[in-house]
Amino acid sequence: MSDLIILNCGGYNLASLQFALDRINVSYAVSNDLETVKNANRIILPGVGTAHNAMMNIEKFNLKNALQEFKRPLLGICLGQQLLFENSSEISQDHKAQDLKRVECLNILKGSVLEFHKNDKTCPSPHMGWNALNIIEPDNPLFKGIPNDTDLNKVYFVHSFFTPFEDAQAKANPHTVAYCDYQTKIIASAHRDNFFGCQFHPEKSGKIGSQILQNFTQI
Amino acid sequence: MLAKRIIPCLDVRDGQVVKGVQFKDHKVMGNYLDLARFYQESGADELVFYEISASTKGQTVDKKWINNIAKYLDIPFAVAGGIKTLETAKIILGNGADKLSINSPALDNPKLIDEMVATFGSQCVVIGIDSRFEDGDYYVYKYTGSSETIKHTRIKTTDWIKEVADRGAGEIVLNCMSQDGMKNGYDMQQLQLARSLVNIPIIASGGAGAKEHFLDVFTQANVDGALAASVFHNKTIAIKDLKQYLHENHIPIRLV
Repeated sequence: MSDLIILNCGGYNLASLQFALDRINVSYAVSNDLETVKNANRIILPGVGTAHNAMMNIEKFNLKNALQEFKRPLLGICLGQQLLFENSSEISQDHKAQDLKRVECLNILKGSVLEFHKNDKTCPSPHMGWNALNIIEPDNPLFKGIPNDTDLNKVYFVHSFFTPFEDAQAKANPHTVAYCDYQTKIIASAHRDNFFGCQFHPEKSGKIGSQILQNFTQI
Repeated sequence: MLAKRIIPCLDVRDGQVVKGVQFKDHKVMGNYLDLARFYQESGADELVFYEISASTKGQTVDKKWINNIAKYLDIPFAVAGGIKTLETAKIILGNGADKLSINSPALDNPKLIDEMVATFGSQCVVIGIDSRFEDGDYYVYKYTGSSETIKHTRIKTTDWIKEVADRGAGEIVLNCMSQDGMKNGYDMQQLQLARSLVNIPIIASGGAGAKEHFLDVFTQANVDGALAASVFHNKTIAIKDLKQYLHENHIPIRLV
C-alpha cells in the first residue's frame, strides 16, 4: 500500500506539488490506477485543467466511486477542492457549443462552483496572488499551527472559479474551514469527515503552505 | 485584501545573477540559487528570473537551472528571456516554473500570446514590455538585453498593452526604460496610464531606489506588484524592512 497518492487526472504539471512534498520529506506516488487509489493511505487531488476535463478523466479511469467512497484523508487542491462540490460552471471550450451549463462533480461537499465576474475593476479575474485566510474553524487539523492573523497567514491563490462561502440567503456553507475575501467571500478551505480542500496552493504558499501540507500528512 | 507583491528580478547569465544600468555594463551579483534562497527567506512574494543570454543570442539554453530553483522555492516564480515557442514554454513549465514572461517574441509574433493562453491558461502568461517616452508618446522597444540588439518597434505602448490584454495575457510587467537603473522612483505617469487601460494585474518595473518609491507606486499608480533588482541585490533595501514600512503605511502586504 502506497502511503500518499497524487491523483493524476490528466493535468500535466504536477512538478510544484511533488517538489513541495520532497521538501517536507514525504514520499508519494503519482497514479490514476483504480486499485492503487482504493488502497492509498492518503490522496491528494491536485488542480490542473478545467473541472470538465478533470471529471471526464476521473470517469474515464473509473475513479468516481472510489473517490466518493474513500475513507482515509483526501486533500483537494485548487481545482481539486472544487471537484469535491456538487457541480461547477467551468465548462471546457469545446463543450460550450453543446449548451452544457454545469458539470457534475464528486458531490462530496454541498455547494456549487461559480465563475468570478470578469469585469470587476478592483478584483479582476483570475484571483492571483497572496490573500489572507479568515479561519473560522481554527481547531481543524489542517490548520494546526497556522496563525489566525490576516497579516501573517496569506497564501497563494490562482483561480477563476470559486465556491461562495454564503448562499443567496447569507447562510454559511457548513463545510467551510476558512474563507477569503475576493469579489465576495469565497471558500478558501473546506472539510467534511475525511475530505479536505484548499482553494489556494499550499505548495506555493511559503512556510504556511508547507505547514498545511505537513498537517495533512499527519491527519 | 489581496496583498501587493514585492518581486525581485534576477537577471541570469551563465548561472550568475547580473545587473546592468540601462541594460548595459552587466556586473555579477552572485549565484542564482544562493540569491533565490536569500530572497525567499527575506519575504519576497514572487521571483522573476530573466535569462539574458537566451534572448539576445537566440540559442536554446539548458533548463536544468529552472528545475533546481523549483525544487527549492516554496513561492511562485516566473522565467523570462528567449521563450519563442510553445515547446520551450512547455519545457520551462515542466521544470516547475509557475509563469512564463514573454517580451520580444510576442512582438515578433503576437499570436504566440493566444497560443500560450490557450495551452497553459492566462495565469501562466506574463507579457513584459520595455517602454520609453519619446516624440510625445510612449513606445515599445524589443531585444533590449544588449545595446547591439535593441530595436525600436514604433508600436505605441498604450496600443500594445491593450492588445496583449485582449489576447488573454494574465499579467503585464511594464518596464519603464528611462527610469531603469536610475533609482529615481517608478515612472508614475506611465504606470497610471497603463493602469487606466486594462484590468489585468500590472507589475511596475524600473526606477526603484528607496522604500518611498514602492509606497508611491502602490498608492498613486495602484499597480499589483513592484519589481526591482539592484536595490535588493546591493542591499540598499531589505525586503523585510520594506514590507514592514508598507504595512505601517496601510498597504496590504504579506508579512513573513
